[in-house]
Amino acid sequence: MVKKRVIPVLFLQNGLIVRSEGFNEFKVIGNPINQLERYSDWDVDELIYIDITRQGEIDSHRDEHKVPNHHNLINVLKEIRKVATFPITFGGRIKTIEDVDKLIANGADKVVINTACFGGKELVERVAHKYGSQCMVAGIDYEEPFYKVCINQGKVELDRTIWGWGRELVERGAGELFLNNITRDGKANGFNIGLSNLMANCVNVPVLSCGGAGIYEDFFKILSDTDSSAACAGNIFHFTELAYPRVKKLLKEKGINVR
Amino acid sequence: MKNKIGIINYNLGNIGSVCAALERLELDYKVLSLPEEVDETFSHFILPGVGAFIDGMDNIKELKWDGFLRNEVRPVLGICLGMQLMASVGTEGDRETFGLGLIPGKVEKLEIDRLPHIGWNECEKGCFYFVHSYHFRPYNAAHIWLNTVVDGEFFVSGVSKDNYFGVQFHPELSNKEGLKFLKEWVNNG
Repeated sequence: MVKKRVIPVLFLQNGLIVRSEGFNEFKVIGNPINQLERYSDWDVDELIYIDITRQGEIDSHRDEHKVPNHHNLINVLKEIRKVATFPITFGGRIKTIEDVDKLIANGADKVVINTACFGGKELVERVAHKYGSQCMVAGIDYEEPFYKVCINQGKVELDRTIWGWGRELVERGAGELFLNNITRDGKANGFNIGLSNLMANCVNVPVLSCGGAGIYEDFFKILSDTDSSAACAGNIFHFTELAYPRVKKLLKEKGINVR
Repeated sequence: MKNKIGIINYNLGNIGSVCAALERLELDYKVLSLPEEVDETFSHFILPGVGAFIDGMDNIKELKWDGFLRNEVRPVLGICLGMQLMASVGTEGDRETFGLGLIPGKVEKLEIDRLPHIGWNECEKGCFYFVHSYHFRPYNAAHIWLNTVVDGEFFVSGVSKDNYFGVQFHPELSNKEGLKFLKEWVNNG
């Protein structure tokens, strides 16, 4: 049987990895290339990178982090691809099919698109047609308690129900849904089990749940109590020593089908 | 003879991960855009690919890789779409189209609860990363190399016939186990 995945999500801002809280507080953690070795050693199932740069240039601060400066994200991706022998999903600030072409050509296995799914540009359809649905991950950011769908990095609320939006994205060609909970982002108070469960029952593509992981038990809950195909998290993997192998160990001991 | 792998580039999907994996294994390789670039120094070929069957065949024919592949006697490994293109017939896009016909069989949509089949799954050779919605059904059981279970049903995740090998999963994206698989194939294939 296909195994449940545990996926670290790395948020990039101006070329550096940041810790995010509530989509509005960010703290620099480090350089994406340096961090990669650790994830490679941990034998991760997959990595998701999301560029959440809001203003300013991509700059990985050569002096502070001791690796070549990367002035654009494509170079960061190229460096990642040289090292990564596991699947890489890249997203954030994708607006056109040309943006997608560039990411795929430089080593991304999948792209995650959020804001640009909206607005009648048929980007989802075009990516699915050109690269296959499996390449087209649709990101859905939402807020509790009313499950409001937000775009533009959480700043604009969409007048759609989350179920309707999720189903529409799948009909248009999304091969996976990446659900990110704005309210729980960086709060470490557990995944939203109810929403993930309902969404996974609403669509017939894999659902990836993100936002709220604080303790190892949270991963067990989301993977045992819902049909989520993957549990995703950022902060816990940055700040807790050996968090990734420990999460996997706990899941295995509790009988979840993971690698 | 020293191993040297030719990666067949027919402009579909990214080949960066295949290069990264061979680099990790410290294997000599070259990305080939046209059959004219092939010479006797190559020991193996990899036919990668992510995307649609029809586009894949169109590109392969346009670049004249089809004739090369049909006549080749050195080991060829098809990965994902590369494996599916080895079949006689594809059914993507609601119509039947000819594949390379290297291994007799038909490529059909998987009938499972959640499509695409994305993630890590097992076969006789280990646990690998899969991402696909179609699968290869060989006409002859003798060409089944590997099997995988999803939703309680088997599907063929590896095929082989003579010097042709195909795997549905991505060894190049399957980290340690994937690298081990590739190394074994290069040494024995």
